Amino acid sequence: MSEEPAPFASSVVAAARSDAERLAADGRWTQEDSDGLDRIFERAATRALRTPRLSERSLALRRVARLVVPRPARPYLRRALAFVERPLGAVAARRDR
Amino acid sequence: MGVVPRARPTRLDQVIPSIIEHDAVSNHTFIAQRLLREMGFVSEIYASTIGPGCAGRVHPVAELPFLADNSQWILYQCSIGGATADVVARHPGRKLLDYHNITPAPLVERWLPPLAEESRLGRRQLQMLAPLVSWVMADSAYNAAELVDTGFTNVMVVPVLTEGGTFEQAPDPIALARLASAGARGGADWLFVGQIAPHKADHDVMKAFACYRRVYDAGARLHLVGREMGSTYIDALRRFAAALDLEDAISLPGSVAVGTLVAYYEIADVFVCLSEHEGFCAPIIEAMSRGVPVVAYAAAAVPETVGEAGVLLSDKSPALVASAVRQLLTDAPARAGLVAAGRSRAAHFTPEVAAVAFRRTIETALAAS
Repeated sequence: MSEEPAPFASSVVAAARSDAERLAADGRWTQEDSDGLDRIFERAATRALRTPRLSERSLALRRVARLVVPRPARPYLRRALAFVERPLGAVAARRDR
Repeated sequence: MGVVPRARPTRLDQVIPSIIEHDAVSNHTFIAQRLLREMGFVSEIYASTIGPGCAGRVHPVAELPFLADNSQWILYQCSIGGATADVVARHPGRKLLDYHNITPAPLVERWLPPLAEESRLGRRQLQMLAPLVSWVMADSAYNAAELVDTGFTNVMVVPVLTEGGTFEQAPDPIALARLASAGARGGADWLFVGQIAPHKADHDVMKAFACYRRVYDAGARLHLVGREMGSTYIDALRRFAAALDLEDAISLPGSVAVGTLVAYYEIADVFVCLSEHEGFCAPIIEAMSRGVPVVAYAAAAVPETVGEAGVLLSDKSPALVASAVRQLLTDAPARAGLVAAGRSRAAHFTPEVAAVAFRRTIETALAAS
């Protein structure tokens, strides 16, 4: 089966390149804008990468709790942990905005 | 005296590290099982990790029979490292390998350290398996070249097996109505389909989309459809969308049923793939077969998959990607030409074509044994 040639692809790329250059020249989208996006994503990434550590600590706590907390008291402890964790997560998400 | 041909094996079992629903390699394995059974083999699937929805169709790898009389061959589906590779290496039967590529560890190290470790293990296991495997299938010439570099011989390119008719089916009407109603407010619909994973660079698609919204089309929407790989990266994407004030414009619906996925392709104006690594990228072909034009970053196997039928970019700066999408949506002849070229390209990868290549490879391996 022969390949269907598509000259359109190269014309789209050429037009896109000159359009991107024009955006930069007009100040509508500059390298600084791109760098700004990179910084915002890095902040989001750093905070997201920190979050599992919080839940890992919580997991470790749960493991210890299983050993020392009597079975009937565990649902109450579980609810208490959830009560503490949820607002922490919500605050972190709001802070990112 | 002539050489007495060995008896044809009666079993051709598949081994795979993990198997789950709505996953390209897992689907490929199930279809391979059907084809092998149609060829007359007893064929079962054995895995270390069996996801929900696959129980009953897949056996734990500990149950893999070890028949030492050449009546059993093993086809190893490889896309990550794991204990299953050692089981395959120890097995006395003739071994075939089907390679779907292993994501390079550095691309996932920051986000998913255990996965990075499995990736490294997978690459080491490939080297271990190279002298033990008789025939190899690779999804793409890119994957095949990696295998040849690793020391494998008898490597053949066999496209990913997909279910016939899946993408010809009608879109889910409820999903379509919901997406179309959002589209009625105006603005373009960007789509990417694939695991939400760092090497798929969803964050780069979001950057380009943010540029596009600001410069060209404040009403545009972005749909990133796929199951998340771990919770951290998708958490970062959500935080990123919130920080850009684009929470309402960017949707992360997770893994969806086929009818819903067809609805996404139906409403999409453009498919944007900025992945850093793909062994093939089946969603590009799905998009082409549904008439959605493709803009993609030319990394790994992507240029081979796209061919001449999509817009390939050598860098993925937000302004360049946004401008390419803009060109594609405003230049009607270019769009129509690429949609036609995409449909023609997708015809190279139909389920029938892939099934023929798969059967031919198995028959070649049998004849050579």
